[in-house]
Amino acid sequence: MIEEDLIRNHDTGVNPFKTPDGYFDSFTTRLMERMGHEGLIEQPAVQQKTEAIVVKMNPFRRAIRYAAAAVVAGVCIAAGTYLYTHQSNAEQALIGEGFEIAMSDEDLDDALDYEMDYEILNNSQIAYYLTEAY
Amino acid sequence: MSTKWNEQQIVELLRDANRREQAFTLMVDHFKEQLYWQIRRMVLSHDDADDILQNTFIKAWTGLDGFRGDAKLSTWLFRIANNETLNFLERKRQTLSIDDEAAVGVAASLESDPYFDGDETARQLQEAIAQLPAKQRQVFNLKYFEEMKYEEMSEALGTSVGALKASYHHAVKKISEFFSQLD
Repeated sequence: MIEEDLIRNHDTGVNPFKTPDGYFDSFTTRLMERMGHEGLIEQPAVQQKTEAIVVKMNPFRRAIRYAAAAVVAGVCIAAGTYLYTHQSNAEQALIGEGFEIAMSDEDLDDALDYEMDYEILNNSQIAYYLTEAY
Repeated sequence: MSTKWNEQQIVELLRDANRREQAFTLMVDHFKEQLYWQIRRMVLSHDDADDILQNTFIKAWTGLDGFRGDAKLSTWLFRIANNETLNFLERKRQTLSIDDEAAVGVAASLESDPYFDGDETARQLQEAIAQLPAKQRQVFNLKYFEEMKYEEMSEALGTSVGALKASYHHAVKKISEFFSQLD
């Protein structure tokens, strides 16, 4: 048809109509939600996305919060450092008196037994051990 | 992995009262784009097309009991969409005076439409089509853009093949005259 050819000369052949991004992807969901609101179907079991309400913090308040966090962190670090060094000093003191801090309880019992075996007892000590329920 | 359902499977599912809602969402997914573009070419505006498309499916849902299955599901949905579109255009025509229609101009309104990406040629074509009576415009769109066969169109629109051919012929003649006057 000649007239149709005339039309095609004025037709780019490309669909000029566009849709918003994601329109078709979201259409069915939106439709079902609308039908739920209108009572045409049971409300779809869609978890309502509750968006977190973002409250812009006052810059001054934000600075205070950062400072508080820094103080807490500093206290934690200081306490940890104190405990670490204090414990180390205590360990050092004990080591200086001849105590083996690293010994297990079992080893310590064995060592004491050994000491007891080889302790030189006087007569009164011997008598004590023989008569007392030990 | 999503399963692709064909029309017949959706119809079978629609008959099951316990799975009707599931079937309905499948039906919407299956036909939404095809129906959207048929509506959009008629009403031009995306927002209007979106409203009409939603109303089409809502009408389909409420009228599911009346769907006997003797016509194809696509044909049945198309008829609902067609009626919704024509009713919309009639309401719009009645709310606008003749002067308003002439003054606004389709090409001018499309130029400012964010969802129309065509150039001057595309706008002129739409302006030419818009001057046709609604039913004639529909026949032209279905035949020219959708390349729908007359037999299929006859079933969808409930109009004889002969009447459709005549309607298309008149539409093409008017549009070509429009361009002849421009050139």
